[in-house]
Amino acid sequence: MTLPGTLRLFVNGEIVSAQGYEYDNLYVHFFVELPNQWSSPAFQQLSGVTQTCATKALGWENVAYFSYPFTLELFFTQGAESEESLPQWPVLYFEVLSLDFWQRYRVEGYGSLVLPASPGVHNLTIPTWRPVELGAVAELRRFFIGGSPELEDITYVRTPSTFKGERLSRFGFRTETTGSVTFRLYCLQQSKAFLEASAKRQCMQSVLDQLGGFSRQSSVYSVLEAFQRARRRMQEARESLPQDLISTSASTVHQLQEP
Amino acid sequence: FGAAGASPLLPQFPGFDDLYCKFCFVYGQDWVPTAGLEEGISQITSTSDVSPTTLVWNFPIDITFKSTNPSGWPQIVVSVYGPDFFGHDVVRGYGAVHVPFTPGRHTRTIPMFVPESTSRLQQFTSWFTGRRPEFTDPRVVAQGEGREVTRVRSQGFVTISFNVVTKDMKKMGYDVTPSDMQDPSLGPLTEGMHMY
Repeated sequence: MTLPGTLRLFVNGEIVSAQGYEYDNLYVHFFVELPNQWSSPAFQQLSGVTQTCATKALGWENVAYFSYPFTLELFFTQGAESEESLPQWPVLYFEVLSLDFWQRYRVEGYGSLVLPASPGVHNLTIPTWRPVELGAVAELRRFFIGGSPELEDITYVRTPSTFKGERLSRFGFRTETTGSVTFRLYCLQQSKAFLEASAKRQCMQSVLDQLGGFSRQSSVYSVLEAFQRARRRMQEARESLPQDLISTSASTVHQLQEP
Repeated sequence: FGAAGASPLLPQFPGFDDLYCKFCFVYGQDWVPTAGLEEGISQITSTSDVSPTTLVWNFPIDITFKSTNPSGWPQIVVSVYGPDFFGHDVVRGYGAVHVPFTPGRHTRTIPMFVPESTSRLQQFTSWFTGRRPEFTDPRVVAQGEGREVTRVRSQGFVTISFNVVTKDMKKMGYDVTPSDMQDPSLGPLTEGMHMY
């Protein structure tokens, strides 16, 4: 069971397929970015690369089926000072690349996916784009030699991690639409807050509301823990006292009560 | 109560290429954006040979609002621009939609419209010079006032996918789910999760 005020998000994900891309021999490389209040256990791998898959024609498009499973276990801890703001959910950034005959790779598309906030099964198809440069030279280079303009910081796909401010402008950056990638995510959430929610079945109160009150509860929890520790220490100390001391104190009590 | 949404954009403008969009939020007086992007300009996207009809921006719209009043619920206003035959940057469409009430994932395809010139001569000169009629402030599409003097033509669609999270709605007594969702037959779903 998780600590009070913590939400555990467990995702069984699968990269199902990639479709609509120009070239063959595709593979997907992804990583998960955790915002501030999120953490993951030490063994958790937050990135992955699929196998290289040749495409087949399905209708109008060329599809590559990866069936690449991955699991994510993430913890969200509600801090006391940030009770006012809503939590940011982790984002999965991915890039689709293709490998050519000469073992050179080229970027086929970038995309991102916000992990769903509601538990359950989610089938998501994310369209992607790749950066292009004006003029024919870059496209010729891409076709003949391989290699393509790449993003230095893949978080640019959403809000760049170095961005501070309210207005994001990507004006001047040119991209071309490429295919899309399908994900299937099975999300499970665990939190102490769900236990209380069963009593009020009618209201679909969001777990976020209940996590909010937990900063007080967690301080109560820590006080209780401290009390338990002190009590244990007292009991241990009592055991180590010599027996006769305890018995004489008991006999003096008896004597006092007699008259 | 607060609401947050994060959404990529997908335009459908057959016949047009190299489009970029600007978006902003229009909200009432009681609403305050606490975090995230209030406005943005996307990159210029073009069609590819593989899929000549789809255009993708995937522009993230992460914003968190705080409010005391549902009046003035935020709307997202999108304006799309692109080059015309002569290379001038002209407006391709305006559209607006309310951010959904209910938490979860929603996809909305909004039709866009473009203002039309009042006379044939003006239509020709604006086509030639690239100075097409446009709204001085795109936020006007988020409200109904003042529209009786405009003439527009429908052009294109933009698909926005919203991921909405709300907080403290129930605490304040607001009900956004339809009443059949409180049917106890949905109980087994939540019961199963308690086993963990």
